[in-house]
Amino acid sequence: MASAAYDQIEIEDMVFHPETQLFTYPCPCGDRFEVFIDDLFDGETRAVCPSCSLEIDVIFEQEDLAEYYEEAGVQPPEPLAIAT
Amino acid sequence: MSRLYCMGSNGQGQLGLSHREDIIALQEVPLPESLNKIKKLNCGGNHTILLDSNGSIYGTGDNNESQLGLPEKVLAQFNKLQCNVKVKDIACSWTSTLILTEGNELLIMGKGFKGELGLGSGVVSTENKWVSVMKFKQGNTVKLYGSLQNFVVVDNSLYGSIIYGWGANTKCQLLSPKSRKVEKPTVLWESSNTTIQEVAMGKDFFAFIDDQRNLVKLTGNVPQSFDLKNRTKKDILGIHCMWTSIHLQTANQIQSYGNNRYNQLFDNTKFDRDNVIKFVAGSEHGILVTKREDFFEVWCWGWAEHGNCGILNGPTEVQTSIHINDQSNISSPPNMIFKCKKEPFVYGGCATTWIWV
Ligand SMILES: [Zn+2]
Repeated sequence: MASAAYDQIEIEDMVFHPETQLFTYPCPCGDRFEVFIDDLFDGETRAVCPSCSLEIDVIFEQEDLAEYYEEAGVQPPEPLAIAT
Repeated sequence: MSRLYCMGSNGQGQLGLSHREDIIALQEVPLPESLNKIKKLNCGGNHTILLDSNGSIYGTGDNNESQLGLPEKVLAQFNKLQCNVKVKDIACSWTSTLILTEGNELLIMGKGFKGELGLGSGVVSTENKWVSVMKFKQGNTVKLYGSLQNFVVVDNSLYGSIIYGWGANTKCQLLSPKSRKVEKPTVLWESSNTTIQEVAMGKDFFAFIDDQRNLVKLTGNVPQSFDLKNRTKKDILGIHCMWTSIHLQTANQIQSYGNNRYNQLFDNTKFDRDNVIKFVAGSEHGILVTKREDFFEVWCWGWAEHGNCGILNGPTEVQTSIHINDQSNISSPPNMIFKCKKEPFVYGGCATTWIWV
């Protein structure tokens, strides 16, 4: 079982980098928490920092990812079920 | 000439020690000969800026986003930054540097995706040059404050205080209702009879203190345990925020509210000194100064994974050899790291601790 996250961050506060398909958010160590959009799509909620032990929980709904897939010009692994 | 000491996170050379190892004991920073007395030190995520009493600025660390405006991508020593005007104040966001010139003009350099450059719709980079953000009236006293995704500027004149802010606004840290970002300097608050003296910025919540020590405004995602009602008395000697907690200095205690996963909330029961004279907050650690008889002590507490709170019960002198972080102190109780005869200045960056005398 993973340890408790250092913080909870909403996806709109993160930065999406279309070229690497990573969401990032500043870590208090100076590096950045990061997680791939496809991993979020597959149900991952943790973003990790490569330079320290801290992790954050990313707050999002799967349908929030649609605009970022569109921005990157790629298709999600499966069609997004968008509630209407 | 000042002497500068530091320790902590150093992956991009932000400590200016000519190496990129995280260190857990204070080391003296080699400073350029031209640098005069240090007036202010400020850190972004991975870059550090110094302002001296000549109005010159120096920087070290990450320059991948042109936050230093030098040719090298990464620097591990303080270098003079190119700026052909005298500088009065500095502040950093995560990857940008904001300066106030002698002529009361705000200039910015670097990158920011959340509107923190203040340059209007869609501008996320300045390239390698200073760009004008706004100008204030000559004679006004202007003070700069930065957090990871925001800047706040206080403009004090004979006619009162005006507070400007820009950057992320998803938690109403600037204005209500919330918005993704505020991309130009926007008036957050103004008053003709109250003078704002200090702004304390957390990750996405800010506190504004007037010159009578009243907490006059609190915005954004304030830690839930913080009760404003009991805190409007004139008893606040100092206020500072870590990213996820808020700390008040009141009658020689530090009262803390918010995230305590790594001992960030000051534990007064583990601290036997009674003469705290000041404190500051880094990203997730704090640094305080006490006076005892004829000398000063500097103590650190909080998240210490990068060596930034020192070796627990370790040396209190500056070390001449490099003590690479051994991760022996991760969640630090109040820990004395330095003693000196002259009142020291202190600053906390992103898991970095700075002392100058
Ligand atoms: Zn980190």
